[in-house]
Amino acid sequence: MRQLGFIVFMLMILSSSHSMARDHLVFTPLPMQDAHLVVENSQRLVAYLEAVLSKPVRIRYVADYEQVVQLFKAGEIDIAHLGPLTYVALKQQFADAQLLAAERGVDGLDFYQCWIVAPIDGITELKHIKQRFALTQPLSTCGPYSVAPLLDQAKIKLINLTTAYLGTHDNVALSVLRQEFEAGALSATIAEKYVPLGLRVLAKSDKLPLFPIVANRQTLSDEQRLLIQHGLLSIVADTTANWGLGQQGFMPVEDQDYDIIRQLKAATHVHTTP
Amino acid sequence: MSTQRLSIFILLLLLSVWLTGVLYFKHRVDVEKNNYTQRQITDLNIAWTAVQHLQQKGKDAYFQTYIMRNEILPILLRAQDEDQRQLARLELYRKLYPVYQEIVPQGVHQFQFTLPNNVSLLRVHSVHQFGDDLTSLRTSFRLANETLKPVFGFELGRVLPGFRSIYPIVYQGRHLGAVEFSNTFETLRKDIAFLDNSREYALVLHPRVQEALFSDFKHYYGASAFNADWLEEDPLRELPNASPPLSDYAKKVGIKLRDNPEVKSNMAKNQSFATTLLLDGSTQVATFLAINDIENQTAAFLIALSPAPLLDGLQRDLVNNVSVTTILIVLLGWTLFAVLRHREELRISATAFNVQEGITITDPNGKIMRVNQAFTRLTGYQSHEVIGKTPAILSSGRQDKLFYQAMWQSLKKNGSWQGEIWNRRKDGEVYAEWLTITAVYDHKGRVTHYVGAFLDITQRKQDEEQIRKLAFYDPLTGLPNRRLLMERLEHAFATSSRTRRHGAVLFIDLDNFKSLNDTKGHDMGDQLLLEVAHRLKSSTRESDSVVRLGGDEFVVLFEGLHADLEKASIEVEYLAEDIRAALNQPYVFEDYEHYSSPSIGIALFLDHNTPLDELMKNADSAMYQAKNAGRNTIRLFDPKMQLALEQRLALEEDLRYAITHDQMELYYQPQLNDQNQVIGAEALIRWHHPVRGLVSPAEFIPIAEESGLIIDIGGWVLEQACKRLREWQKISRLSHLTLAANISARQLRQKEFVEKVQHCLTHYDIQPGQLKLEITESMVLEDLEDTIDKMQRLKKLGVLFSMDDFGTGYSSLASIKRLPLDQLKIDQSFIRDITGEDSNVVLTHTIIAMSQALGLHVLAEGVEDEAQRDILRSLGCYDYQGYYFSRPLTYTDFESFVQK
Repeated sequence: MRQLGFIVFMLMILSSSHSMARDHLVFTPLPMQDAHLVVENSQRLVAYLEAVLSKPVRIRYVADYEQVVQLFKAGEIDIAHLGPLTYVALKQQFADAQLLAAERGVDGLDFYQCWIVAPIDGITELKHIKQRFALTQPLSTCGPYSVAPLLDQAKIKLINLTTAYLGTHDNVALSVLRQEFEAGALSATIAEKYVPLGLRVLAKSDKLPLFPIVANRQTLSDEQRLLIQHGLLSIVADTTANWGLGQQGFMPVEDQDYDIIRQLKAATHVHTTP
Repeated sequence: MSTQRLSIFILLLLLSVWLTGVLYFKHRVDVEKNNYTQRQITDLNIAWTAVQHLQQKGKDAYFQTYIMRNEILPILLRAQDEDQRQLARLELYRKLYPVYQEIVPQGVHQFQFTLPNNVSLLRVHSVHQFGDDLTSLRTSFRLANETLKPVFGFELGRVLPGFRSIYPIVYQGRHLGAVEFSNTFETLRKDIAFLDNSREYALVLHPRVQEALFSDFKHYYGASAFNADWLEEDPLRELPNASPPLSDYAKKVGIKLRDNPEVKSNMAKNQSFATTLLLDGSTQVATFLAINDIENQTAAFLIALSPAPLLDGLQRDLVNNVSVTTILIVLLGWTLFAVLRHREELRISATAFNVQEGITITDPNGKIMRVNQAFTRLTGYQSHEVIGKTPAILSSGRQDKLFYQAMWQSLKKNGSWQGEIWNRRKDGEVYAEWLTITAVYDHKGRVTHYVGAFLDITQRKQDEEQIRKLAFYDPLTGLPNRRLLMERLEHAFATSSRTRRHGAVLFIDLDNFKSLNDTKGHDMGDQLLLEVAHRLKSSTRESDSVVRLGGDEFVVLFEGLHADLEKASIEVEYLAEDIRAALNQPYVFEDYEHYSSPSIGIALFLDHNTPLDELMKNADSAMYQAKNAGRNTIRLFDPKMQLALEQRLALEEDLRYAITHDQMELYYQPQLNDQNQVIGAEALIRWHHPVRGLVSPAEFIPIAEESGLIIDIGGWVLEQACKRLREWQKISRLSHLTLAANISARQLRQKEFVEKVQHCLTHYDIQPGQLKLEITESMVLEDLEDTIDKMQRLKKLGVLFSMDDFGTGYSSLASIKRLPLDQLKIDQSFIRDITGEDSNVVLTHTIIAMSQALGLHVLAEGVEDEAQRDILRSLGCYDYQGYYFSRPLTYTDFESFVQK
């Protein structure tokens, strides 16, 4: 009996959450090109979470989606703001990644969408695309997994095009405007900014789920996760001016909302040209 | 002005000079510092202006090269048409994007166009933002589009504030709007740093910069390290061509300046300034140049930081100058105060030198170098009369050699001497002075001078003497009073202790003095007291103390009385008797004769055996006994002594009676030669007391000596001897005999002694060589000349002289030789032990040999047996006297002895 008691005790120690070993929680924002801006935009929400949890929360910026997944799995990240595709990838590898809420879009949009754009003095239809196509990042929601099905509709195989990953949605828009690419794919929200300058929308994706806030079940207690979720959903948009992340508020979300992403991913054989 | 006031004045003056000097140097440094900082501001302003000019020139080139060309201007012309504007904008963007890429590395971060109405046509740096009216926000565009002249300067903006270069675009006479090439501040900072790399530069921006920005750009601004109220552009260095982070040096300066009120205040006032600070021990200068925007409002401060070695040098100069000034002032002050102190010392010395004390300064050899006025006043000598001489010129001779030796010893040992000394003035008057001599040493401890200061204390001593007289003497009689008596008694006790001789206190009270005072008045009483004092003084020796206790009470203190109490008692009794007799004499005043008698009480003392108070009480008590005994009486305090004295007095009285009432008888002790033939006799007196029987001469002769009866007795013996010799002349067997009679000292001292002897010789017709007078050595020594004179005169009358008890006195051979002696009688003390002690044989032999040498007969007395006689004979002594031959015999027995 004594030996059994010792083993249970050791297991309890080994299985105890990483966050319990730390005196703070770790929040990783959505990686974007301007790290400082990302960190700055995350400050208000993190402060809000600290208040909700009564525990310090630190921001850890991780630029690469894949690295985010690895750190999350390793228990180094407690809370993360992820793109839908990244969430799906994470969930696939790590079942203890728990959806808490998703950030609303501009003007309270409850979905995310990708557009394929071209300059107004360029091609007018998707099928006219011959060669050069601009993309953001391989694991971006508006990346190959979203673009390929749309191109497929125009009988165009992404794999046959000369693609380039330009990093950011803005770069995609501007490169297209400068006619460096015949067309490009980017988030609808960004694309809308450049439409007045001279972007034409050639195609729109289906409505996609929003960017979720994901909790690490292995490092956070049930109570902590509930507190965070409740806190996020309680945010009222009127009170979040200049917040950056979370400014539009959050909405409930479920894992099955991301099945569409899973389907897109399953249907698409991604080939990218760096 | 007094030295103290002068000191204060000089102190204040020096302080003023020092303070003025310090303030002057400080002012100079401040002026230099101010000039330096102003120069820094000017230099920075010039550099800033130059950089702006460079920027303008560069932008002029951009404008001409990139804008005013046929490829661009038509597009802009089309953009004037609203319908063609979108495509024209897009085309413009595409054409100028490469230019933008080219000029961004040159520091241009804003490159945009407006329409003539200030509406944004294209922001190449932010292409999705256009169509907004910049009229209100961008004065630069408004001015350029209104005036059609380029506008340069700082200005806020919605993307980034910066140095604007706005050019109006006119093409084919048509105004097409304006183009902006805008640099960040950082660009200019870099330029200025390139121009002058001796300083480090930073830019801080006005807080309102952030207000105008698009929200996306607000985060590019953070609180400045130099003033948290102001902004720093791109603190995270996110923008292209961002400046390098602040150096450690700038950060350290920033920490120092961040909360500096001067910095905050000047920046709030939007004015250029320069401030200094200390960093790691060296001075730094921070120059803040206010940079106004196009609307002439302060938009930023250009900060230049650099070490300021010049200021360090100035600070060092200030410290050096102040130090040197301080040292000089202190030295000057020290010198001045030294002079003042010296002056004060001289003044004090001069004052001290001319005090009431006479001062003499001598060299180490005692030669006078200087004297003061008081010296002249006190001694009568002018300074020129004594300079070069020694103070011995003043010597009175009253101090002996030992005194001066002790003085010099003290001077050498202690460096000083003081004491009372008697000196002589120039006029010969001797005066007392209190002299203090102090040696003056040099730094090696050698005497350089002696300073003598003296006060004439003659008057003081006279006063003291007067006071002493008042304190110790009776003002009426001038005799010592009770207080002095006590002192003298203490002294007498000490003397008695040392000499073992008795002393005596006589309390004398005048009988019936009160009645005289009452009947004749106090004046008469005083006269009596004066006379009593006089008689007492006359009746006593100089060494005795006569004291008046008060009223009619006197005390006489005798010292040096006999060591034996009884004898001392007798001695003092006689002395008291003399006093009583003197005081019994009638007192004759002008018209009145008064009779008075004293009552005298005597207390004897030896050593400290009787406490002083008790002694006085005893004497007083004895005096009352005398009073009670009927006045005019003497009483000794000790009852035993009193009894002995009374007995002695009775014996003396009996002796006096005995002389006149035939109680005396002469006995004759035969003197024989070695042939046992009687050659003479010594007459010895015997007293047949009617009560006590035969009284020994040893008992009554001293009384006779002390009472003076010895003269009567001596006279009686001499007469009886002569009378007997006359009888012997008639008897053949006795006619050849000599008869020796002893004479006393008092007899011999009698002036008429020779005449008395002569009278006897004549009266009894004594033949020369029959009468022999025996004298003693002590008698001779009392007055040798008188003795010789009298002996020679008697010698001429045929009187023989024999020296009795020879060997017991201390007469010298010289004096013996001068005496006309016929015989020496060897004292019986030599004879008594002659058979036993060698020394006595030697002495006796010496006496005999000496007698023979002097031609004197020698006779041994006290011969008691044959052996003594034989030894004497062997020594050369052939005449003898003693019990061996015969005891002293009555006349009858003597005749029988001779006949036998």
